[in-house]
Amino acid sequence: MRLEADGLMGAIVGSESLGITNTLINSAGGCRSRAQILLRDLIPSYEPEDRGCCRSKYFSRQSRLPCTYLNNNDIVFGTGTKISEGADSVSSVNGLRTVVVDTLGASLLCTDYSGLVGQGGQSPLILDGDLSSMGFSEGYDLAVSSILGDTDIDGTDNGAVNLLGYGIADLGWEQGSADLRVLLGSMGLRVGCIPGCRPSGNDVASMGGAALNVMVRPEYSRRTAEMLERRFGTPSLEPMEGAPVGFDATRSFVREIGRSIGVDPAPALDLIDMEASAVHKVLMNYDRLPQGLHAKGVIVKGDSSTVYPLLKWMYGTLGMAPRKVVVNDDAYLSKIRGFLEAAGYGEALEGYEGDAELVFTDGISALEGRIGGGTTGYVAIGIPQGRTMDLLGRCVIGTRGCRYLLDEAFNSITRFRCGQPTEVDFRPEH
Amino acid sequence: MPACTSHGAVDAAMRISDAAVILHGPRNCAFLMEYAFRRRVLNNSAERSGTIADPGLYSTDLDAGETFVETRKNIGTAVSRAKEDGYRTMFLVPSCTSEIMSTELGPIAAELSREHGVEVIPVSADGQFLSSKFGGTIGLFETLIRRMSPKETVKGSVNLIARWFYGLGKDRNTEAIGHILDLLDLRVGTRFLDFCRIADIEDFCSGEMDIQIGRGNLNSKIADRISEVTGRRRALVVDVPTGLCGCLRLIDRLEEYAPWIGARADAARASLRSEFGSMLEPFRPTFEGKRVVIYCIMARDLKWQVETLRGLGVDISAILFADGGMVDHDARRPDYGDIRVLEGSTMCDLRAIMASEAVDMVVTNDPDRVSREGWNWGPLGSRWSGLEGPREWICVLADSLRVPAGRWEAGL
Repeated sequence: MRLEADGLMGAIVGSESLGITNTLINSAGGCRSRAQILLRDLIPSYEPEDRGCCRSKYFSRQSRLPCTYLNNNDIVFGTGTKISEGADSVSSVNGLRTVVVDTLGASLLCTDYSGLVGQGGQSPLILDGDLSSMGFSEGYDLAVSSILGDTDIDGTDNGAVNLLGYGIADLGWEQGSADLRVLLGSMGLRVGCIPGCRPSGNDVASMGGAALNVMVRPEYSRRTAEMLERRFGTPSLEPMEGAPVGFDATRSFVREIGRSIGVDPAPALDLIDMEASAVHKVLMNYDRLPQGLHAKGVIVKGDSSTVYPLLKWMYGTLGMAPRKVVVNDDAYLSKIRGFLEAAGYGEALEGYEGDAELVFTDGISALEGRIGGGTTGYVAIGIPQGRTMDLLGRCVIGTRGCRYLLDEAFNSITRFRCGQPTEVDFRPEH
Repeated sequence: MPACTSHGAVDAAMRISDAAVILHGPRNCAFLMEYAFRRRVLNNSAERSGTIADPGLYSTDLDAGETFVETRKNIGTAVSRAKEDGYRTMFLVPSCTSEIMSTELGPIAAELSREHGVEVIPVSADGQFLSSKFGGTIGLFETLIRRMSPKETVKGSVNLIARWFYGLGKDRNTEAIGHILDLLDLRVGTRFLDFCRIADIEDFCSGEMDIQIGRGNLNSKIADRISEVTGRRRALVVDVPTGLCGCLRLIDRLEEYAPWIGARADAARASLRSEFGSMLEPFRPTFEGKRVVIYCIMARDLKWQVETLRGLGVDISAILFADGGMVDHDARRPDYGDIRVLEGSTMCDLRAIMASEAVDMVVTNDPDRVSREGWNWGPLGSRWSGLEGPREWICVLADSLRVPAGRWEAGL
């Protein structure tokens, strides 16, 4: 993809990732229809829908993302009435509160939002901010923090750990979140709420009592973590090595959480080591493949919390040369810059391109790369998705993410390699 | 779900490989349009020859702060980026944001063209604010049609004007029409608007004649404007030729439109009839005497399907037409002879027939609900046109008679 989504799309995805409100888009129909396509891929599991949504013209025979469908009249009269009626209409279908997301065009129309009262006294929540000037992750964070900030949440201590900034905007989030729960569970920790993964109402209601808020992706959660800290005094953790992407960053992730909360990370580290060992055995069988990546170019484009650990992993473990690095946000930008400069690849951030053996990028670009031919391998690490569906749990984070990233990398480099095993005396000793 | 006015223009312009498209609006608008285009083009790439089109789409990245100051700078930056990437022709498309701001794109485009030594072409906004995607589409087509200049005619070259190029064109469908034209010693010229270069559009007038495929309003408006602007004879209007009846109808219409092909028309008809008959023959034992019910939502013209089923010796017990979410007031309603036709039907009507008659298969364009009933069912249409349509359809129907309804929806 040449272009990036702005905060509007981020706010829509953020709001829908919580799943406790209706996201009413104040826009023309086109903004909604294509956002709907993108969103369907982000929430892959079908749940029977309430056909009552067909009663509301704002839903337009879909169960998500109602829309005001701006037209000529709205320029003259503003959209206040539509929003008021729309919020009532959609809330009457499912009882959920309505969050209003303005497009830039809609925000230019003179509309008085004060005094809007919705169904059952639930006034619609208007997201306050210029979404078009924000990045995707910033808009996401704004929506999540605004909704949670305006939701009844219990602050009674429960000792759990909340995972912020991880959710439906991540590939394979259902499997990724399950992986993190297993790792942290092995340390005796209970994962409370993962707001981005369509949590249960109970998980949201009790998230104020957590012992720690972990910003899995700080670019998606700093504002939310600050809000929770202000409201409930919950400390937060921003992982030093980025999101748990790659074995090293995943080890670092559990160590930091263990240190912050005072528990021993050893059981989680054992699980990671077991997985790393199992994967390593496979790589050793095909040793010429990882060896073939040595000093070959790698391009990485994505969220900085993924780019930083992934870059370090590809460089440090496989000896790959960073050719081009593009980040969508600045959460880990200074660390990435420092790392690249120290490694002698500072120019990669300026867009230097050479031959690349591997490209980590969004799903659509990865699909285009694969279809386009050539031997370069393309690995999707972000949305929009290029796959039609994913039944194998291809996530980027945790140990499952390690398997996906390596599996996809090695299987997508379309080049013949001799299958003759390396001579035994050239292999490590038994 | 509706699209927006800008999307109509942007989506069409992205098909022109040597022109950039600059959308004057917030980043998200352009992002979603690029996403929709790439998703469609990439997933359809196996059905098209040639390289995968790059949309060449740029955004002026408007935000709330910039809307209250001079936005020319944003447009200039986008023009510079497009120029750096090698584009010399750029379509400047308004969005609802720039329309609300009442930005006059014409003078800005002229200024930037001079400044950068490129051609920045403003695309007119929809006359009615945010009416539909076709408003923006018309603005773009107007711009393109004005570039069609007089050319020396290439004999036998037939331009095709069709919305389905603009939607999701497939090589096989163009080839199917090419096959019919070939029988008349004609060939496909410019496909408007398919993936192309600016020069292809400028060469439009080298075609000997034009055919408008599909009677939709957009197709008609485009064909009208081509004729008005270039002075060419109004394009011949035909339906998408599917099945034998569709192919023969195309030849009839062409013969009326261009009588000089008459000498070849009879031979072409005979050839198509023979091809169709040979196509049906091996399947006749499978279908002879089989009883089917057709359950159809929204569409009304099932002429080629009925012709094909009858050719196979199928007993069509009834055709049930159900109303859908949209009503096509201009739908063609062919005469189905002695077949029982039930208008305004529902699933209950279909259930009643299935309970009382020995039906071998329901042929339907409502597979969601029909398959849920557990009946044998087959599709009502084909992805292909020409004789490829019935050829593919017959194969699928033959298998539909043999395979179970499928139970995946109830659980795995």
